This record gives sequence, C-alpha cells and structure tokens, in this order.
Amino acid sequence: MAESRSNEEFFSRIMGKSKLDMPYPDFEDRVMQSIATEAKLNTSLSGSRKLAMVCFALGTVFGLTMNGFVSRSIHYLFNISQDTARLMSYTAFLLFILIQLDNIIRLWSHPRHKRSG
Amino acid sequence: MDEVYIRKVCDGDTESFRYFLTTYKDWAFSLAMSVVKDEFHAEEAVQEAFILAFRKLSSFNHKSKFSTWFYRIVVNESFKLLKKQKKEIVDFGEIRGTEVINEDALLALNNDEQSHLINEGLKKLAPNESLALRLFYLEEENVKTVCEITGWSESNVKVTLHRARKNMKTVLNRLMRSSN
Repeated sequence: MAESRSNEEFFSRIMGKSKLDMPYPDFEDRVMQSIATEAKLNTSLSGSRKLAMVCFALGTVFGLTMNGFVSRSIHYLFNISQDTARLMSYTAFLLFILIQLDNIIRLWSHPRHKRSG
Repeated sequence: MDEVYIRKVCDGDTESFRYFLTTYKDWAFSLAMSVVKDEFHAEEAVQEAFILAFRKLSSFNHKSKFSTWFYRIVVNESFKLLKKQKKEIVDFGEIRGTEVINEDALLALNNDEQSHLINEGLKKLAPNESLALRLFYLEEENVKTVCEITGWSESNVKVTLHRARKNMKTVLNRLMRSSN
C-alpha cells in the first residue's frame, strides 16, 4: 500500500514535468488564418445556400405552372397525343428537379479543409 | 472562462478563438506527441484538431468540460495520423525487465534534465501507454475523464496505466544509466 502510494507520488511529481511547449512560434497565427478563411467560406456558403433555396422554390413553382403550357405546346407542335405530351413534359420536369435537388444537397456537404503546406 | 469564449466564437467573433489556442496548444501538443512521437506530425494533428473544434464548436453540448471535449478531438486526430503514418512508426515492442529506478537520482537532476529525460522516456513507450500517463496526471488523476477522452473502458485505462508506470520506470532507468 505504502509502495503504491510512493509510486503515485513519484509519478505525480515527474509527470508534471512532461508538459511540452509548442515549438512553432507561428502556430497560432497559422491556425487563426485557416480559421478566418473557414469562417469567410462559411459566410459566403450560407448566402449561396439561401439564394439556392429561394431559386429552387421559385423554379419549382414556375415549372409546375408552365407544365400545362409546355405539354399543350408539345401536343400541337409535334402532333402527338395529349397524354404522351403531358408524360414527356412531366418526366423532363421531374428530371430537372432531381438534378437541381442534387446540386442543392451538395451545397450542404461541408468542403473539407485542406492543408496547404 | 471557456464558456464566455465559446459564446463569443459562436456569435461570430472568430478572433476570440485565439483564446483556446493560447490556453490549450501546449497541452494539446503534449498529448499529440504521446501518440505520434514526432514534433512535425504532432503539430499537424493539433492544427487539424483546432480547426475541427472550430467547425464543431456550435455543436458542443456543454455536458463535459471544454478541455475534455477538445482533448478527445486531439487524441482522435493523433491516432488518425498515426494510422496514416503507420509505415514510418517504429515497433515499440514490449519493454522487458523489472528494474528498480533510483528515484532520488532522478529527482536530484535539475528541472531541464528531468524534463528531457521524462519526455525521452515517454517517447519510448507505446502510444496508448504514454497517452494514459499524460492524461491521467494532466486530468488530476481522474480515471473517468481519461475514459471520456480516450473512449477506453475503466478497466482498460487502469491496466494500461499500470503497465505504463512499470515500463516508464524501466525506460527511465535505462536512460539514466546510458546518460551516466
């Protein structure tokens, strides 16, 4: 018991001297620079995300209202049945929406910070 | 104090993050050195840890101390780097022997010599052993906090600490003999 206590005391004393100092004096400045860049990127990214969401919502509403007009135009221009024209128009619209949705989701995946040096 | 600066950084005052750098960089570097055993790689791990801490600061849930949360990031980043650098890592192997250290001789050395010898000894221990020793004595000998930081079980921490103390004594003894 006494031996274990003296062992503890010995390690308490010596491990207090195991603290190392960061040997690179410019470390703080370099990290702060990376963080400032990160913060700037986050701010601009947040603006882009908001804009993308607004444009996506407006585009979706616009697309939905235009769908009837587009399907009628296809029907008259190419002389195909109204159902087929509607199907073509809706499919194209759905594909477009999915592509845009994928782009928007990508905006939320955080770009990884890469060390330059 | 940490809470004040966490709030400031979360409110957009990026420059306030310097407080965490100034306060924790040396201990973070010491912990990273325990794992990666190389100044350059330790600095890299600490830099990554600080950037990650900045990114995730808003998700810090205040359930534990900031230092515990941050040291966990440092330890994870260090082990991640160690895994990446595995080819370059020297085999630490098992340190055999039951040598008895002359504690008085070690404590009689001046502070710089003691510090040098102790850090050289820690470099020769396996990463988990030197990490356990540093964390245990850094965190006021609290096994629970060591568990929180490393993610190891309590029994694992105790066993690692026991082995680390034994091996550290053997290593220190050898270092002292070779320096005489």
